Amino acid sequence: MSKKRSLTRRVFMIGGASIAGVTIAGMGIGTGYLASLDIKGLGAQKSNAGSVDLTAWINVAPDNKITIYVPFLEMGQGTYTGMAQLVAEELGIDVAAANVTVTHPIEELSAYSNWTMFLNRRPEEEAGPVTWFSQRAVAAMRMVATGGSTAIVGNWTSLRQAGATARELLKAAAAQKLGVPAGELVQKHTEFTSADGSKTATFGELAELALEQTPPGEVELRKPEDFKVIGKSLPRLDVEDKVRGAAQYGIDVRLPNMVYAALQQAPVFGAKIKAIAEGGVRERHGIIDIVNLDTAVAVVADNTWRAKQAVEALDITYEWPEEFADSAKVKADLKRRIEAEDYTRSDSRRDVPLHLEQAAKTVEAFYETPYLAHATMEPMNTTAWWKEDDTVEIWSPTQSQTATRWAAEAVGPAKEVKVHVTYAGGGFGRRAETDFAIYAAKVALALKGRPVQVVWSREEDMRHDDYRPGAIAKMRAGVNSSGKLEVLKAEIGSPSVFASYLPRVLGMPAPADQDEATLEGILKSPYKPAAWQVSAVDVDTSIPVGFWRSVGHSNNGFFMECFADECAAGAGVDPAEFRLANLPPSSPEAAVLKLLMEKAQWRGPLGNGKGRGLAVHTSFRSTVGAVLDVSVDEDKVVTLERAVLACDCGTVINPQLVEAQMQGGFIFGLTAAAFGEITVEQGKVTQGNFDEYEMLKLGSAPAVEVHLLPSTNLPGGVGEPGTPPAAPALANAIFAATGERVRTLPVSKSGYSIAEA
Amino acid sequence: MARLTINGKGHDLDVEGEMPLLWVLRDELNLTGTKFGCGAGLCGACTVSIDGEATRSCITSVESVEGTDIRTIETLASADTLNAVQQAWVEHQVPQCGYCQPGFIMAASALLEQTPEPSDEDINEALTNICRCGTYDRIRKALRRAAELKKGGGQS
Repeated sequence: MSKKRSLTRRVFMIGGASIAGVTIAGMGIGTGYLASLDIKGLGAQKSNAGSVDLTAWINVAPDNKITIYVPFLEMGQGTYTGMAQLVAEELGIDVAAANVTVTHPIEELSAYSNWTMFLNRRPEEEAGPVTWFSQRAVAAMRMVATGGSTAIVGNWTSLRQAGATARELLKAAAAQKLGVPAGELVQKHTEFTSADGSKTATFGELAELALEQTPPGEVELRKPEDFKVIGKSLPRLDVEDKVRGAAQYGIDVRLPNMVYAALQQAPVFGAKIKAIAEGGVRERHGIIDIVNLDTAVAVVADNTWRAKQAVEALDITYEWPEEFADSAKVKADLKRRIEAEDYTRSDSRRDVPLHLEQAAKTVEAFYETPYLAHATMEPMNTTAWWKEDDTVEIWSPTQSQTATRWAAEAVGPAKEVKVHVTYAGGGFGRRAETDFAIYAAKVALALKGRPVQVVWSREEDMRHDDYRPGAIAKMRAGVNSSGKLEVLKAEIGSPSVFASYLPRVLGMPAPADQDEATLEGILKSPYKPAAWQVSAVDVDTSIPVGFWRSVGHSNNGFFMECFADECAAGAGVDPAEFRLANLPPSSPEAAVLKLLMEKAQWRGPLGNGKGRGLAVHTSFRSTVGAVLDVSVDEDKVVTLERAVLACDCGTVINPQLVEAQMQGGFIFGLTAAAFGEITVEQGKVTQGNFDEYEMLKLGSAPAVEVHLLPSTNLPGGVGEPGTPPAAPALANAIFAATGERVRTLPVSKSGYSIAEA
Repeated sequence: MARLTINGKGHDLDVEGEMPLLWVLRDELNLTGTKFGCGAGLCGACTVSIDGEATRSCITSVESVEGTDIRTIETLASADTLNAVQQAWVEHQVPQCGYCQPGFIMAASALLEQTPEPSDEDINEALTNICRCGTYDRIRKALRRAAELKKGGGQS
């Protein structure tokens, strides 16, 4: 039953069409045009500002200021630093020097298109005409976007090539200008000197001349054993601005004559504004305008607080949708469809019912996870300026630069839209959406000529998110007497992220097939025995769902790794031994697990009332294993004592940044497992602020120790893979401590609370 | 009208007495280092110092802080020197997205002024801010380091 879908199997990570679809689109655009696209960005030219672009990634100004362009949102993951390290490895510069800056480019070049994310392929895997067309079709759309832990994965080679190309051009220019053979030049940071030190030229002085040099073509890149910058724990390039409070986030944009707006969105999914009774609000001090945005009302004022007070004072009536969404009903529908085997898709190998029947021991469990909000610390916001001549400028902490431009263009008769990407106070997938930019563009159009910053309150942010879908899983397995998994049947129920996102953000149809996000991490599970069946069910709901750090892996990692623990217990085998016995011996999961068992002293002593939980999961091309130690008292109060993580993410660009991502990703997952739950009743989200959607804090979060597996493989992602192991490690640790299986998240639903310390 | 002393400078402001200090700092004075996170005193991103006490400015009205010494993140460092907490935060590479860190740094600075050698409990009690990036591990280490730096033990 899966055959007919094989063509559409490879959906975009965020793109919606399949490679086939994109390729057909690409063919429609025309081979000649596609061939003309500069997808590598290795060309050199004079920039509009009079400086010189030596490739799409490096700008050299006459005063010797070097700018490195990073078209990915710096939202905490450290992409500024990691990307700059790739450039610096070959360009030979010190990225921490005062004359080097990293910035988000405004231009959306073809070379910045995130082909890796949209097609879920590495450039190094590219081969053949399908790849040729699909890569160029994405480049033709200029899809500049951040997500899927892809910045380093997608640019590992291209950024080093850019650095090397710029270096060769500058070196040739130096040779010409100084009259010294290129081979005798000595480079120190952004300067070339003759061997005797008598003649010197800076990059700034050489840039114009570099344009006249013959491009080097294929350049030889440094071998791993010669790396000088890659693999080093460089300090973050944004750290000092961030500790000074000087880093400019979207919410910190300040423009001359700028005003502020607060929103009241229709509280029910699918509802619209029917009428606004202003009741004198317009006459209040500082109030500038009241704008009906169809699904929200904005009040514009000279101060965010005044705008907020005013919008809350309005008497707004709504046009309600025909049906009111309910998160409990979604779960019930998913359960019913699983019971009826009413699958959206199902893949299998061998006779699964027969193997289950014949198994020495069968294990069965039912798991459930909630909807989750992103709750970035910086609430949704965007600043927009719709000028009198219909040119538009937008300042937004966005993961979707190109989609933001499209969205603004659709708001009104924009002639030209420029999107300035700011720092973001967290992203986690929430900023892949465009709702916050659309509202800002609409208010700006109503206010033509005056820049306006639209800031959501925390409650608006939490109640109008695009949530991590709540999911359910019915898992069955057959295990033999020696602890070998012989058959696995997994039925996963979850609203589809792609079906929600694609029409909403990219104006594309929902995928015909159940998207891979629902099954990622389980369809290709390394545990899969010879006989297996993996099925998915979906439901239509008006509760919007989106990409939440690690996406489907956040659910499936919990299902698979808790179930692995249950199978181990069913077979009477140690959970780590069970995994080692069922993972392919040469798999990254097995290697990570062995390192983890050693570093976490898996067999080390534990006191009474304590438990040690384990999980290992691969996502975004990296494998992360976690051991979590907890103690649980008689009142079910859980103390998170210690976490040890091991990670294989291929070549490590910056170990301290990877460590930070692993720690952060794990705490993100642990917070959700401990407390996180969004419920929808009568079409409304119940939770509004951090008192109802709790977070781990300094006193409750465990220390997280991280160990990286040495590797010279291609780099994997690091922003997301730390999250999936957290929830199963917690549930498994609670089982180890108490003997109770927690199969529903958050664990607070089973009466467990987290010690405040 | 309100008169506030912020970072040692007097400001006459045409604002309602009930306006939270946060929005005076951010929207009237463009001191954007103090962040808006929740508006309900739950996350600590807006923490400032009022007469040396770490205070959540999103729930602190202007009228309640007239005549006090208000300090924000912008006042901790000079052009070329960070304070001990900021230095330690850099040494331990604490910030990820960094949005919550001004609040943490203000809370940590106030703690160390009052309690130069804080216990783990002192730290947990004083730093109840939320960091969504999960930098807690490094915050604790950096705070210990800052205490050391303040004692004059600049050695690493």
